[in-house]
Amino acid sequence: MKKTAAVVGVLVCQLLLGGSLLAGLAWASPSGYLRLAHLSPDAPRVDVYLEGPRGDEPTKVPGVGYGVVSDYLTLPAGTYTVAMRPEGTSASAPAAVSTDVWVESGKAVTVAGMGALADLRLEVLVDDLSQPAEGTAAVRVIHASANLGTAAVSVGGRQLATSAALGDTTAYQDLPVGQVQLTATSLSGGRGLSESLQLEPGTVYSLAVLDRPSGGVRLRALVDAAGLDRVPAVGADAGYGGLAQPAEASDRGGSGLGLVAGLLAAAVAGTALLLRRSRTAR
Amino acid sequence: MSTAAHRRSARLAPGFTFAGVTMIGLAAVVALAWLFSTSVSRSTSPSSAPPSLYPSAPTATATATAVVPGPATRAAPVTVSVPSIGVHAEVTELALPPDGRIPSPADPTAVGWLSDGPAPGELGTAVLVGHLDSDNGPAVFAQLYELGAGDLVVVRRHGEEPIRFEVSQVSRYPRTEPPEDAFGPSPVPELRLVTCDGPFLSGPSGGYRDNIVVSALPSEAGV
Repeated sequence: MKKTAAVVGVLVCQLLLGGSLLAGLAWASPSGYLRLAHLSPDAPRVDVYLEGPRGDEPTKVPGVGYGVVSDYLTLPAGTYTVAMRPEGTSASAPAAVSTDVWVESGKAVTVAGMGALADLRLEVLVDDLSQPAEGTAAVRVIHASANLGTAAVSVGGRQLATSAALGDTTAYQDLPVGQVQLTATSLSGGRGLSESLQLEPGTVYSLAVLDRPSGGVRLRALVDAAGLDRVPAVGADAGYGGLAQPAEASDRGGSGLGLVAGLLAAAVAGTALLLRRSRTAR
Repeated sequence: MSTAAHRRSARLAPGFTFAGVTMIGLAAVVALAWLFSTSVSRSTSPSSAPPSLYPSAPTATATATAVVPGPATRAAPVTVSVPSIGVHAEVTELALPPDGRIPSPADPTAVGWLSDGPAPGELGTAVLVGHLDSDNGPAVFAQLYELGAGDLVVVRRHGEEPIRFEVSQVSRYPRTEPPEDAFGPSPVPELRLVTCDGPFLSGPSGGYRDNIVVSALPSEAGV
């Protein structure tokens, strides 16, 4: 008899657990993110074309020059085509470069014209949207400077590349936040760069090293993503209970919790009764 | 206004609609064009580049000003309005405590902004928290669950134009298991409105069992 009561108790616990699992619905981002960039130092202005998965007319962005990076577009997931043509040429002319890019739900990509004009390519960079470790920012470096040449690059004393060439992109690294120094030392006799910047917690950066028209090198810090300094461990306790009425507990849950609570109560009562009976029987 | 009981039965009727909304296409692309054009016009380019991709002559490049982010100038939120559910509330500042529990304002009529993250309108995930109820009745976010795709949220900001958001998604999860995706970094200015939901549990770890999270993206329409 006792065993039966215990089994009922376990079942009730499982129901409770199941109820709470049902309540947790998955979070799914409805769309993905894409941004466009011209990072080829000796390439002239281009017309950028973006064609969506629905077969609509491609959208043309005219006259995009070196160093221009768009904000992120929020787009329905799907396969897009990005093409670059010399500024002012017909849309029906063959593209100088083009690429297909898969925009994935909840993910971000940068499609950039990279490298020297002689071997210009459209590169799809996958941008990191994950939470940097607590107290850090995620940082990568995009080498888009001909004046710099092949270079060693470090940020905040941490080496991101020992030998990066024009058109290279380093992997992300989590770096301690605060004021840091980016140092790019040319290994090929080019101009170097040393510039300080402020890294904020919970933030993801792409640091683009660009040519100055005057012959120098400059830094453009792009924020790929930002959020809370750290991911919350527990959600908000944002109710005092004034709307909660015991009789309506099942309404709130929407997962048959009232029934479960009833079963639990019955099980407790049953167990008590059984225990009392077994005691009396002794 | 209806009673709390009425409100809850109204909530039962349609069930929870967790709308996943596919965003825009054309409008975003128009915005893109605008972004490019402003970026370009801001830089003082000699625009002497020949209109060909294959010139032998050296090409001119834009002399944009160096962009090195310093300490961000925060446009702190002042009020939040959600017209479709009659919400108009002051926004107070909240800090995420060391234990990582999402805090909520003491005042059930106020909305709290987690200032450990982006402000609404800044790039990234901005979080506003409000109560479902007070000790004896509905609080500021009592009807948050009623929101659906396209509903408007307006945040007035200190020293900046108000910013309009449109609800893109409503989700619910157990309070003890906030998913990283709901509060993780974002590459666009996103807004999260958070309140409680589910059954009210008693005991030391009591309170409402679940959280509702409303996700909103900047409105295309502007203010």
